[in-house]
Amino acid sequence: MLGIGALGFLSPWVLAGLVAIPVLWWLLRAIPPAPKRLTFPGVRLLLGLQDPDRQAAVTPWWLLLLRALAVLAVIVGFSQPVLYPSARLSDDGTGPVLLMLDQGWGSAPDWSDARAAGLAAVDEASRTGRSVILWRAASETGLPEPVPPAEARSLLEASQPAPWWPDYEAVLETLQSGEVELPSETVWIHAGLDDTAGSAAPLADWLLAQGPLRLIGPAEAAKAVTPPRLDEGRMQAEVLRTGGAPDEAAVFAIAEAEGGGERRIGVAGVSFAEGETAATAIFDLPPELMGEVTRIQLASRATAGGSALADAALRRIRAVIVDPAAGDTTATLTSASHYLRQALAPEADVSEAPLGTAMDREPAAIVLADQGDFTAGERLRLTRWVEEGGLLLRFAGPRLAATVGQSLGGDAAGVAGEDPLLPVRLRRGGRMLGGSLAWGQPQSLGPFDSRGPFRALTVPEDVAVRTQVLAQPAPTLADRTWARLEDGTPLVTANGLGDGLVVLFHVSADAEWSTLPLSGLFVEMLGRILALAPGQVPEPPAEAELAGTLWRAELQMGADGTPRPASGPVDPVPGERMVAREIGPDLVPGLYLRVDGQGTTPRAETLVLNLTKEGDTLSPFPPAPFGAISETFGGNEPVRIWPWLIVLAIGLAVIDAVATLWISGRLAGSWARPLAGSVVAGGLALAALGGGEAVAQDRGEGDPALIAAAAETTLGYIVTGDQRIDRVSKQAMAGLGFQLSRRTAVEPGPPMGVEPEEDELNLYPVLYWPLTGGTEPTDVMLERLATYLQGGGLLLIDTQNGRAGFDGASAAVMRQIARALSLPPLEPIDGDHVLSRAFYLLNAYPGRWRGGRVWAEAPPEGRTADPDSLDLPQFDRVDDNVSPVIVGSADWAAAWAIDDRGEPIYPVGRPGDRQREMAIRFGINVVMYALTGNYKSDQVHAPAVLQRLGQ
Amino acid sequence: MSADAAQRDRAGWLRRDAERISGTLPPLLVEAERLSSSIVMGVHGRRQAGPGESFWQYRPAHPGDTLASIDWRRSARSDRLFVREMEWEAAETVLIWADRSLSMQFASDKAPRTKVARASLLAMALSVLLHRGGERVGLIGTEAEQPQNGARQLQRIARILSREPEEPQDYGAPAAYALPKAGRVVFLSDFMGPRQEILPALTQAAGQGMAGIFVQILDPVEEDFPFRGRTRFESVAREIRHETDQAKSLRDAYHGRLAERRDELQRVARAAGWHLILHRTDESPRKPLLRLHAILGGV
Repeated sequence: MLGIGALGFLSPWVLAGLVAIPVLWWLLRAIPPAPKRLTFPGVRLLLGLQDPDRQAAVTPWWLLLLRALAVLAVIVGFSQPVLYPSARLSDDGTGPVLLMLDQGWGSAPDWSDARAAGLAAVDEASRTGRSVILWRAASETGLPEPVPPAEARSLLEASQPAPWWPDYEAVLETLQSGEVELPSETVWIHAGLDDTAGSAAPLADWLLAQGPLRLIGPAEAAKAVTPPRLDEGRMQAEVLRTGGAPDEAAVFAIAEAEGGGERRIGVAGVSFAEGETAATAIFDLPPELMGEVTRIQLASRATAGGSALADAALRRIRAVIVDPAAGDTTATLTSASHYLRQALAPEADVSEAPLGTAMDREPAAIVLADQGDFTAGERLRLTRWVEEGGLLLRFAGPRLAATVGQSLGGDAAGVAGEDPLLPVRLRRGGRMLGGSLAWGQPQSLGPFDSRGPFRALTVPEDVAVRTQVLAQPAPTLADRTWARLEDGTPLVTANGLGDGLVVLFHVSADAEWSTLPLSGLFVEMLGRILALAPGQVPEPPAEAELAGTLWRAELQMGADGTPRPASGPVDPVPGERMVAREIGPDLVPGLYLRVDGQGTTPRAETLVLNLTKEGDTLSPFPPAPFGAISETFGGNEPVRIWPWLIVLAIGLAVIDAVATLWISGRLAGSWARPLAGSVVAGGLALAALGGGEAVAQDRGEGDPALIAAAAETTLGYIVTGDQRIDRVSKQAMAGLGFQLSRRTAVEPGPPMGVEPEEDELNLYPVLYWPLTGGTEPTDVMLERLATYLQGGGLLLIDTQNGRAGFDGASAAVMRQIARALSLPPLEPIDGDHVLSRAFYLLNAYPGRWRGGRVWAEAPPEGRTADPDSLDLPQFDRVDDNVSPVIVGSADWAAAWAIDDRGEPIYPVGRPGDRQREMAIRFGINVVMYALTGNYKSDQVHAPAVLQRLGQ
Repeated sequence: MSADAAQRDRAGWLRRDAERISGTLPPLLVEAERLSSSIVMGVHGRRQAGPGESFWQYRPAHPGDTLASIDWRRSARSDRLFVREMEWEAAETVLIWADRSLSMQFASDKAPRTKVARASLLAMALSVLLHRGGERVGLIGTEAEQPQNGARQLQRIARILSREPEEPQDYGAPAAYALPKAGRVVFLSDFMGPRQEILPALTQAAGQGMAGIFVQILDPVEEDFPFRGRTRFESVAREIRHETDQAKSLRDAYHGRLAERRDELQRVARAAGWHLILHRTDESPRKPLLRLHAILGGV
């Protein structure tokens, strides 16, 4: 079987007849249509007569074209073309079948389809007794061998998508190396994506040269997101796709929930124009929430590529500067706090506060500019705060110097006692260099500790230190020193305290003691230190910085886009590979911790490795080469085209015959017209046969479907585009309609699917709207729905997720919907709501799920649902006080749905309990509520009315 | 003509053949009898006494009259002898040429019969009329060429005309035949043959001093030319062809040429004192027969 795109030919050799078409063209051109022959004795009198306007005796071009088309239709028709041919393998093939799976991250959303397609191919191979080479392009390491179909089947069933790219280049190299048995035929299940190197096209060409090639892929390739970044204070991420029709997508921002787990704290939508491959999702998040974002993920069809871990680019550390001297001086531009604020601003949200209230702001870091002694209370709180993970950054200064050794007494040598809020012990008194009374020159900086956080920073020449506090020499001093002066005197020391970290600059934060605060190095040093603040994941460092480091995965990205703790022993990865981003089986995207003995940094450095990086693009799977068959997963039943082509050929032949007659003038005027008319009608009928569906799609004026919907009470449901949900909705509306006809005076017509963006809505008293995950209503849709509600419509929104209700994402979507529809406040309905007694008396509203709450419009202020109050309904409202929406999550559709024979389709409740019955009763009540409004609301007052009547 | 119709015709002919064997009159003769019965044939009397069958006058007997010639009944009423004289009825000789060429064997779907059938019918009817009038009839170009009177000649003519025409020529022209000095000639044809063949033959015939009549028998389509569209016209023998893209546009030219041909016929006829009768096969055969009779009998 030969294939071109989605077209397969069962008898391709017939296509050789296409060669005959030019010959035929020439022949047809040369031979004019035969004249009619007429016996006529008077011909002698005609001899020598000339036609007044003699035409060229050739066939007109349009007749030629007609005939050529007819012949083409016949030839192509007899080659038996099939659109979306179902056979995976050719009928007469032998030898091993190569079943190539994409298996990369892009295949995750359609994995079950891909696996089903693969299994179908394996089954066919098993029927014909051929062996299968199962080649998973993302994870195959060895040389795949032909295996019996049964083994291939079990291998395939055990396969899972991998959170990295497939490597077609390696496949091609292995195949070309000749080390594996060459396939005679290939079924390639791809994900609609090329690999990073763009080697899918050469591989397809090579495979096609070996034998028949069939490409099976999803209708829509997976989308990807780039890691979130900050731009002008807002979190943004690029959503990538391969192009195609206009589309929309939503991205969730996900944070850690309290008590483990995750919660969605934001959503951003993007829309793609035709052919656009990237769109920017902008999150509307306050900065403090932004800092909590751990990752972002596509709302639907999430994959490893559609999920990105957030790194420090997002994180704004909250740092509080405590400057005891702030009150003393008015020279704010030279004060320590000014230098600190300027230096910290790029990295953190900086605020200033007295020490007493600094910790109330829950900062990640507290910067103490020359803090002297603490009060006992302050010391206790500060110590506890650091021990819980805080980063305490201290600067020396006159106050610190003055208090060294005093707080804890101190020994004779003037060595201060061990202060937990100082990384090292300090000597009493500092040293001054380069002063007028000193002989030493101001010291410049020495090299940074090779293991400390400053190791990648370059040491400037021009930093001079004139005054500093000195550390007491100790065995641990070297391990705690991050920066030294040229003569080896510690300049920056750090020490862990509990989960936290205390860092001390041995100089002041202003320019009095050194020129360090004036240098650019100061900013970089502060940045490196802040990166160690709790919950911080630093930006990807430069390659040089990672050289020689070792990292181990802490979290690994799953193929479905959810990070999971790394399981099993994982080999540490050298930093160079992290930089090279050699993502694959050995380097899974995820969160990495540094594991090579970080002596001076008690907190392990972390690193994020995402599948995507900024600037990435997705390239689509190349178009199928000529001769290969291309199809999409599922859905496409094989369509036999050839009967239509033969019918077309016959039609063309008929038209040709009539046209020939007409040309030769054998169509007398009297009956030429009706005949031509019938031919035209026949042609139109043919066209209608071919384009019947297209015609039916067009819902214009006088559309029979509209007329039918308007003629009867018709239950409508909103078409979501998800075929399964729409089918269930249709069956549910049919089931509900059946029950209504059986039990009530309402006898609805056949249910209608409604596309709110296009269809007329006002014909439907109730619209059922299955609002399942991933639904992103468009603005047009919401606007039209709002109009519908203003006109008195009723929308039954069902999230179909049971007790989960409006937790998580649907809450955001629901809020968006509520705003767009300008819904009134909603509250759960209670036993007094009209809905509970519109037809049946109900006290629960189960669907397929039980226990979910049902929401409707809250009673207006001042008119509570007090059964004793006899308030009349407000007459100034068009909707009769009928709630415009009823919102629930019980998946009523599944409970209502019946099949063609009227049998319920989905199991609901345990056998014996009356959950389905209750669901049906609820449905009937909803329809009655929509149709009769508050008619039954006086039932609510019945006890009071009776009581008054009795009086 | 469809196969059914041909079958029916064949059956009809078979029946008529059977009748012929059983001794009844040939069908053509029957038809011709019926056609000619409407016409009362006067005796071509010479308005003078002579051998004849009808009474002319009584005259006194002369010496030399045979005794048998005396009309005794008349003579008995008077004293003189009378002889009964009959009018002299000299039989006229009429020669008929019926064109039986291929072009005559054509009938369009608007005509009930072929032209040759109509020509045969006219010839036969004329023969019957002449036979009744006691004239002698001959059929040029056949074994009944010698003009004779009597039922035998009539039967012979009917047999000849009932035969399937076997002329191989596409178009017919009267053969150069030495006509008797006295008598009449009737030419039944479509005169569609080549001008250079037909006109000399006709002129030669007309120049022999006999009185004659041309009867041009045409099919209605030959006169109306109702054709249109791309057409190839062929003669019956398919020897002559003409192809055109728009037959309709040729109509006027054809009419012109047909009128020209008739003018020529008329000229030839008038020069010799002949007559030209135009006849279409969709018209009743009685019309030309009446004219033929009038011309033949009136002179």
